[in-house]
Amino acid sequence: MTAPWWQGLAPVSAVLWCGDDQHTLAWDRGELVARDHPDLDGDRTLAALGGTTHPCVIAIDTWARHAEDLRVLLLSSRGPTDRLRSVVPIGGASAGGPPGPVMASPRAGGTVLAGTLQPGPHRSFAVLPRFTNATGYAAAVAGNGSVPASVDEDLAGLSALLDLHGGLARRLAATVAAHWTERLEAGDPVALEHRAELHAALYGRVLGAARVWLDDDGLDVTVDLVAPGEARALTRRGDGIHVALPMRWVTEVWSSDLAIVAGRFGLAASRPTPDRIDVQSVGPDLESCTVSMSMSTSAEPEVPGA
Amino acid sequence: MAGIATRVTAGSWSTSSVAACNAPSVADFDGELYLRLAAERLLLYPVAPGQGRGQGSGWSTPVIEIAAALVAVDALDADTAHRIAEGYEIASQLRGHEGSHGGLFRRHDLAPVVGAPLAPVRLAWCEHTVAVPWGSLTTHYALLAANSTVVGITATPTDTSTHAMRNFVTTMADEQGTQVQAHFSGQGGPVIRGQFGSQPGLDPTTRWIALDGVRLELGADVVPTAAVIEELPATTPAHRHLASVIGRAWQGGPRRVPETSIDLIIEALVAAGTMPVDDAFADQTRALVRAGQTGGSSSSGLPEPWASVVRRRAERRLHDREQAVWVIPVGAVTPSIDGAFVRIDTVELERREVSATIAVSPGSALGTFDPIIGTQEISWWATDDRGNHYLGHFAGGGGSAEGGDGTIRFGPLLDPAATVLRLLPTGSTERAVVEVALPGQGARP
Repeated sequence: MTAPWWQGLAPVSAVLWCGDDQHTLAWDRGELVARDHPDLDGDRTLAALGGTTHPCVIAIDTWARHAEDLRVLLLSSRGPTDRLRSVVPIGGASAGGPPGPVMASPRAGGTVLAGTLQPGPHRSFAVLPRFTNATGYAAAVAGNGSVPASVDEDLAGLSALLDLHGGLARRLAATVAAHWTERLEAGDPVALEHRAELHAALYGRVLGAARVWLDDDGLDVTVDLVAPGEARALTRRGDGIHVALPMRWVTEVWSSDLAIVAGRFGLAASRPTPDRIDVQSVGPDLESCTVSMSMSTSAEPEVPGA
Repeated sequence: MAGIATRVTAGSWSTSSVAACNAPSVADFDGELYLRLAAERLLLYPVAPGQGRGQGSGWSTPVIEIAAALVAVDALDADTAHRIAEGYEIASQLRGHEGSHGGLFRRHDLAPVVGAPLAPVRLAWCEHTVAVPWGSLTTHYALLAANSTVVGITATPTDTSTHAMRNFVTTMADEQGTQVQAHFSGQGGPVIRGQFGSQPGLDPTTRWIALDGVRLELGADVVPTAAVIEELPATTPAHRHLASVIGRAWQGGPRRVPETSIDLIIEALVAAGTMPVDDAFADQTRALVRAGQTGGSSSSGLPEPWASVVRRRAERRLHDREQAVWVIPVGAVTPSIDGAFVRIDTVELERREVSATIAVSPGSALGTFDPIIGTQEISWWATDDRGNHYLGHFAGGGGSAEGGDGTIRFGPLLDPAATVLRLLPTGSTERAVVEVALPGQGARP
């Protein structure tokens, strides 16, 4: 029986202001929950009837709405060196927004984007300095309804979610990648139509990791998206490297931060037991190696030889 | 070669970034994959907008330029290109990249607007100079269309700001009793040039126009100048696109191309199999873009007609003595120029600087605020009977998707010995030719 894609992924969480309280958004074993929020369903119903909207509800519902959205892979961070900045919509600008400049007061350290004088659909965002996790998300979705009123509001909500600290954005990207990996491996025609997007999602993450691994921002990296069952490989090609990986690498290796392990590039990861991870990897000299890690839940780190 | 395993032949749906980048033919090239992979690289390692005139802000970004190049050579459809470019622009903005457009991306929401033939308008001589409380006003022509009226003027007011000019003439009236509010557009200075216009306008058949009660008799209608179409020498889609890129780099404005994008454009065209890697035009493109953006006057190594334009650029700074304005009504309406239509209303000379007032359909032919991907603007070339070439750029105006109007300003300065100017609004495969006789040297300002 195949292990679920999320097996072995550490739980992550983020704190946000929800009304007058701080609540925790927690991801664990493939699910996102709003811990501490007393009545999520009730508040969602009240919001639909015109009542107060809560950031917890917005976050949970936005996550659910985009759990299969390939735009998550396009917009989200490719890795530690690829950082997003906080984004807040100006007054809920909508797809049919008014013509004329749209202005907002700049905040310290931030940049304001004014709208265009040209007619036609446009969006406006204010780029703000990164807030602490607790305040940033609530500020980002202030004014959003529980159901987005427009494409722009939905995009703003998604962008705010991707900017949350604590690793939640990475888990959302892993969720989307896992969904599409399964569809691609099953030969789903829709997934096959999107293989260029999936290939790009794989490429960007391999590129970022490989350049960090070899400490070379100019490293030439080419990537083949291979079918499941085909051999995974990393070889030298001219002054660069060529990598052949399946889409599953994103979920299996990248999402678990196993792309670089002990100075080696991770090509595959398996979990022969629940507390052990084996990473098939190559070193800078292209020698292959399996790095095995065991996980212990003991409170104190074990000291070898003690 | 060392590795964890020997690579096997890719499966039926595996995609290769190598194949995308090194296609032996256009048919093998995956334009979508190429654009997405290039965009990934640029997202993680953005190209700085660059320094100097013409860099930085505008609608152009490297991703948009690669997308536009692929669309221009039919390696990718415009809708997919727009969708990909928009997604990466938003991703770029989320990272705070300098020069990204994000939500301000000029996406192609509507189906391309097809140009429509421009109806001829009545162009009448209207040469009068009258003293007015605020100075003196000289009218030159009246342009009377079904729904608009324009009167071309020069003026020497006591208050030389264009803001003040907007208060000097406020109404226009005709013999049928119609009265409309007139709005000034133009430029200020010791001698103000521009137009008073209204929309809706006056009766096109009127025999006189009154500006704030001052009655001006209209002279004879101008016989429209003929416009003929010439085919351009055959060239490849890749070269046509590079010519368009050069034109945008020279014309400036929101669609200008940063020099930092040129190599990416050329790489995309080569990867798509539409031009050889050692194509000489690639180096010429780089040189011409640089020349267009630096404003220098060295034409060494540049091809014609560009060299002609560059050689005489410096004349503006050396011979800037003439003062008066000369307005030549033209009234030419062109047939289709690769789907665009142009009307040239007047040619104006001021201190040897040539400008033309024009109208176009569709609006994208002006090449102002329209999406770069999948659109083709008109290039405003001109020649004279002395063998000189001139290149114009959009200097103001407006419009919509259906059409626009405005002023095209040409450079370098007009050769004082020229007696004929051939205006050449140029598309991708053809151009119009409108020949305008210039006033004799003795009469010219």
